[in-house]
Amino acid sequence: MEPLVKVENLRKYFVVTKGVIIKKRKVVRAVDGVSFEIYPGETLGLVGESGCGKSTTGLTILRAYKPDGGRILFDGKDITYATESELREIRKYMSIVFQNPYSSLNPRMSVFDIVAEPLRIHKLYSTKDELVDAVFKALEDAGLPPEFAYRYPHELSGGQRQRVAIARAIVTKPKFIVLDEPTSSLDVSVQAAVLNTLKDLQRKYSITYLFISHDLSVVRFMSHRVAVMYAGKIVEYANKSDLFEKPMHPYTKALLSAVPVADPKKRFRERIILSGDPPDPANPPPGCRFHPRCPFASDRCRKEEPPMIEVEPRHFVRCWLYA
Amino acid sequence: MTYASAKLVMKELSRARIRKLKMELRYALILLKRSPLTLAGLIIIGTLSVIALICTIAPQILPYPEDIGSATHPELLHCPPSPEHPFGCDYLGRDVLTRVIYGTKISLYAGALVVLLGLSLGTLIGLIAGYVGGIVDDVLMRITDAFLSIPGLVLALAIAATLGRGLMNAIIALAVTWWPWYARLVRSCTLAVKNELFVLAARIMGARSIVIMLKHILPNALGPAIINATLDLGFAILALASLGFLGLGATPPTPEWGAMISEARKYLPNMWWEATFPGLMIFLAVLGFNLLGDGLRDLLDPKFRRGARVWRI
Amino acid sequence: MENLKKSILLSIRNLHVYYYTPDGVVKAVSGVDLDVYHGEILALVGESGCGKTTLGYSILNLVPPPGRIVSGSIIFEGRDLTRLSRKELDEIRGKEITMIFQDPMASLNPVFRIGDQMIDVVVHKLRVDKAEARKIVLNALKAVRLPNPEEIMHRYPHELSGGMLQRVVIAMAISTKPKLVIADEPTTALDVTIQAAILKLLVELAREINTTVILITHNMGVVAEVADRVAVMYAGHIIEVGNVFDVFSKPLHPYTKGLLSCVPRVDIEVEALPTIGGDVPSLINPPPGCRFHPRCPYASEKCRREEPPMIEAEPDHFVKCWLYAKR
Repeated sequence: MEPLVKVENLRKYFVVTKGVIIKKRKVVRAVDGVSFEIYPGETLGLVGESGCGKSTTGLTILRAYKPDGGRILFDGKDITYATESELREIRKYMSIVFQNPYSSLNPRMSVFDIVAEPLRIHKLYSTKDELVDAVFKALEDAGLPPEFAYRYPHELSGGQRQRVAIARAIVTKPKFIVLDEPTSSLDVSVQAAVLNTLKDLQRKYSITYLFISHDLSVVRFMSHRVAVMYAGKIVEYANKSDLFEKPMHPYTKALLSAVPVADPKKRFRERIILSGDPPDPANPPPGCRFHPRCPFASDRCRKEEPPMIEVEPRHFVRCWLYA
Repeated sequence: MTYASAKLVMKELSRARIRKLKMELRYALILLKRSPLTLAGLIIIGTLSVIALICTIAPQILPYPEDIGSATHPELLHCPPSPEHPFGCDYLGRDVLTRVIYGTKISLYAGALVVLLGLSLGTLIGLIAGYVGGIVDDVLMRITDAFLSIPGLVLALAIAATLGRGLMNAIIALAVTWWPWYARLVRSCTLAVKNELFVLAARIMGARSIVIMLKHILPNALGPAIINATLDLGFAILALASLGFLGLGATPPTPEWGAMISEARKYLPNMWWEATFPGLMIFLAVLGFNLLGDGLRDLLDPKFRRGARVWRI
Repeated sequence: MENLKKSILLSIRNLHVYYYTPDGVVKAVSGVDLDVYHGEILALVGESGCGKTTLGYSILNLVPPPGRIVSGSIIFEGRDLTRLSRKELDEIRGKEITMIFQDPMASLNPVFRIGDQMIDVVVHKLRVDKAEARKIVLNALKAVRLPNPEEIMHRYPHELSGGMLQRVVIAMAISTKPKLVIADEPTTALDVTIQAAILKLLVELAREINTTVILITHNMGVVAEVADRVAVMYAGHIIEVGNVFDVFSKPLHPYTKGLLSCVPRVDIEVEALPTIGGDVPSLINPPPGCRFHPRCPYASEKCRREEPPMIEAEPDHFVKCWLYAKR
């Protein structure tokens, strides 16, 4: 099967200026050589801590940013440097759900108009009745009763807003949706319902997801395959079961053992507690970017950057331990 | 499967829009009740607006409609306030009350036009500068700065003097000095709204820049500029009166407040009524718009909304 | 440990805290009873809007306006904190009871060096001289395992990362050797790897200096990792209190059951998540009877009419639910 989304060695750098009087230009390598594939109908979980570049990766694939290197193939088409007018045709097949439902909906638009917007942009209806049907179908799919069409965002709770954002994302029947921490700002009881809805939608319409999250428990629930990102690079990439049952990269191991588990009997389990902070993306350490925090760091890690190594079939790790 | 007829949905949507408006209005009323000063401003401006409207529709109901123009009544020259002429008469014997009332219409319309022209131009420039950014932003903002670096009234005087005497020229002159303020304000609001996720979402959906600007950014960035415009209406009226006073505004028979004061200046302090009453009207109009503008700012701008905060429970 | 008689440090009785907003009176905390024992880590857990933060803040009378403690008492070492004067409360705040906030910058002044502001607090609260205060601060910074505490004292807050700042704030909170630390979502803003380290530190420190901790959080995982006892809040009520092992292995209240099962787990594979239907009720017009009844699968006629009392269903395991009433 051909992947729906194929990312090869993707790079996205940002130039930031620092300082009030003497301006210092720094290049932040937010995404620094990321490669992965997402097959039709599956969910790739992209997990990492804040600032690791996972959201930037998602936005760059959707071409909200111009990449600084690498290749993005969508449905077999190279969209790496496609112009905005070339992209317009493709944009109806891809959409996004953001983390913050308070900022992602225009407060001056009714829910109906918000959900109808993508259809209007791409003129995906011939009669008004068709438009109305599509909007109400999307609301129903997203788990909102029809009367919500006439409400405004300020009348909705966080979970309801997020469902509006989901309805907007699926209204064009897209093939690919980037879910950028869609439930991080929701309460757990609401989160569960929203996650179930997203899973149901995937089954129903065989949508492909890139699920971006910092929460490994949620990623485990949602994904088929998982990529772990650290400081702009993917450090481990494997099937879900392999990654969660047999994590290999020291960072993945630490991340997994750091997640609080809602079972007090497991609190005395052996845990890897990392010291220090993730590196400054404008000034990453040489060699393996994880080496300053890694309990197994050797001299080689400090000097040479490890390549992606296929330790087991379809289980990739970027670590010298497996060379 | 059909969910609902389009007609029904559209009807419901407009009903929802009205419901939202009503809710905002109700909220405004609650705040208004708490702020007597805003209410006072609203009453002043409301009264002046009604007067202006009456002067437009039926000027004949004014006490002495012929005195609006250049009628002369030799027998009433400089006649002090009396029951027939409560505000007295001027140097041509015209009724000051009539002229002051008619002046409301001129000042209000002219002030509104100044602000409207300035706001439109400023919004256009600010929106483009803020949204496009880069070199376009730099160029537009340096032009704006250049206008701002010359004192407003001096610039207006120069423009008005070049264009020649007349109310319309004074309006244009003031609008030219007014827009940079709105341009800066709209630009900064645009920059803030541009960072909202719904703008990014629209871009990812494939919306064109012009649609994003008009549908997503403008409605959310215009609020503060409109508040400022209300505040500015008072100052525009004041500035117009100043130009009129300096002889660069409305031409003599027109009962523009500033021009009236200018004409009456020679007869001060003995014939005080001729200059005092137009002056009082200017004061009233400026005060009214200021009170109203301040109240509106409290109402619309969450940053200034007193007593409001995000509850953490 | 179990055989020792636990002594009560803080005792909250029938506490009501309301917010008088333009939209109506928000009954954020209504009729809460809670005992906090010496030396324990008590987790106050619930979803947003359940009143957990308000309850935590009301202990130090820090409820922001338009909120107000309407009635009830908070007895701390024989004194009712709700009745103390401002001056008396100042004596307790920051000395005997300290707070750790979610945002470390809420407790730090951006324009002063970290060492200077910490020394100031210690001088002011413990009435010691500067040199003595310096020693105390240095020890506190060492205790939170910050590398180069000497150097950290000369830094400004913006020069440190979020995790380091939270350590500084913890150091600040323990530097006066308080009897009670109230930690409001201390790790929510941090990454998981940092969160794990900070939680571990908090527990170790609390044991070391024998301090009682009230940990306010929404994360059931965090509760399970660190707490001794847990109080679950829903819509302004505490609906279940008990030992953390008891509550997690045998939750009694239908809400606690729902809350525990709807969290995805990193250690268990599931296909679909159980959910709690409905929405959190408005605290302006809370439902009559049991506040959870509109969402409760077991709701009976009685639940709709009468508010259930706190029932000791099992030894030291209390639940506010009619299901456990003695017939």
